[in-house]
Amino acid sequence: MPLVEATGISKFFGGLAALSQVDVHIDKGELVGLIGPNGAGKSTLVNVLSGYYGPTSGKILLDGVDVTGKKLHEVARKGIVRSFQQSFIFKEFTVLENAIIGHHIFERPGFFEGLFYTAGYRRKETEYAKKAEEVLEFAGLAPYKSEKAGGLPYGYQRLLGIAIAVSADPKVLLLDEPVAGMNPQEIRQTLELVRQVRQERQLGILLIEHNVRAIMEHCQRIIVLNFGKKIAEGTPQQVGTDRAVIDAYLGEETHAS
Amino acid sequence: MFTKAKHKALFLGAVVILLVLFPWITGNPYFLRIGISMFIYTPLALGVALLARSGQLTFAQYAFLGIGSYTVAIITTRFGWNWWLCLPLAGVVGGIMAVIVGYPALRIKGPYFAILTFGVNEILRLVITEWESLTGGSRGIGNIPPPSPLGGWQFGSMRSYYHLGLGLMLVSSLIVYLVHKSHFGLTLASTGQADTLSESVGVNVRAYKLKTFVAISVLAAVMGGFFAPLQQYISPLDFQIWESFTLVVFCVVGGMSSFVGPIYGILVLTIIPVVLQYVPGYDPVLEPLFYGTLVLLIVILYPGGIAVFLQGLGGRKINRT
Repeated sequence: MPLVEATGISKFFGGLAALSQVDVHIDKGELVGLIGPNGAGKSTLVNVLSGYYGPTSGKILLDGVDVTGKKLHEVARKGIVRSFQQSFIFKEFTVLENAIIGHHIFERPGFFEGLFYTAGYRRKETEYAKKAEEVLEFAGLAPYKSEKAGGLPYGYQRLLGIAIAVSADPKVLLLDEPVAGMNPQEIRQTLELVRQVRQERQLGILLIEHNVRAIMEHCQRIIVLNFGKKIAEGTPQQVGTDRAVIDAYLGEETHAS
Repeated sequence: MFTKAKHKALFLGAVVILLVLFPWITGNPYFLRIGISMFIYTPLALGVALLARSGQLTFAQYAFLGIGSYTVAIITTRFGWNWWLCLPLAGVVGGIMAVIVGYPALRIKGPYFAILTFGVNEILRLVITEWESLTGGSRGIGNIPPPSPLGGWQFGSMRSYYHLGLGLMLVSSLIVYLVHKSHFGLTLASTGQADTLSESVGVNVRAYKLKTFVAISVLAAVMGGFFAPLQQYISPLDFQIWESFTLVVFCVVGGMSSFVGPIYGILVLTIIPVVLQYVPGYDPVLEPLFYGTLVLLIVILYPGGIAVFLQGLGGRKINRT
């Protein structure tokens, strides 16, 4: 049984069909690429899968459980977490605090807990900080843990954004152009984090990227969208030679991100 | 200002002792009343600042002050209940109203939410004015009795209200401080900085906002329960929108980046008009001019408020919001 099974996903904004009868599945431990020209509906699909939008029609199953229509935070608690391209970190917090918030699902601080400053509460706080540090070690950001997140170089901020998603210990990770705007060193660190996390936790990962070469190199399977519809799906080999895919990209500026 | 925790604690202790002794340093009831006003403003303004960490600015605090005041006024004058029992009841009523108002209202963000809270304030005022059988309408409620004696303490003098107000202020400010510093407070602040990001890692943003809104409204209502016997006579005129607006001004002038910011705002904006009265040739008509000029200066030169200005003096980096 696939980890994520989304069938017949359509999303209409008024009369505009952003997504039309799209089927997606992701297996455990699989890295699936999602490509398509600008405006194809890639981000919309991620928004629907993560619960940010409810689909106009269609069903989403996570590990066989129906999560269709659940809100963003509910879907996150069930195990699907996404990364962002805008507002992807808490700029005023320290790097460590960012990772602590990422782990929220396991913390769920209550209102009254902090009022009675018990020893148990303080123990929990130390534990959360330790867990957060572990994720930062994983991502290579531990040396910066006490720095204000907004002060990091842009590429490291993006990496922190992904570390936050990883902190949530999801079953499925939806990454929206994770390496856009990064230099080669940062790209390497990010892809290494993704690879490690996928291997150790057997996450299913859906990766949106414009850097087609990177997708071809790393993904086992690729889904291609255009105008809200799935126009191709298969191995990098198959997709790379697919007529419909080539047509979709012709006339589009092919830019390496 | 102070970096070592121990220095902070000592300073705070000294301030509290001074505040307690103040009525014996000067028995002038006029000054005591000003102090009491500051005691009322403090938890209300701190509440505004706390909720503001989630990105929601409320102009409804005085509405909840009014709810608390009217609850106590009605129950002590009509049913003769002991004030000490009425006070928690005021908090409960405030809490219930906060849930009713907050549940739908907190779905809305930014300036629209702020405007909505203006409306809440006004709706409450109208309800109080129209529901004459319960609230006495625009005539208000008078002859509100002072708190009954408790453990040897008598109430009724300005000094007794001063100490009672001081106690309430310290307890409610402590509560807001603990929430601010706690993990709950950090999570709340995350919703204000990047709410979608916060929600994407499982934070129930609406629940955090609602819990905070209810908490600060309960504190406001409890202060309202204190306000009623202090004033002895309350009417809808005591709870106008302008007062809630003043709270926000305290927060903006004092700065919301640190917990104590609003307190600086209260100190500066309350004490300056009093000091100005002693300047020879000063006409009280000029007060809005000074007030307004100060606010303008702060907003233009130090948008972070006095708190940021002071932190800049100390050369410290501004850390957590």
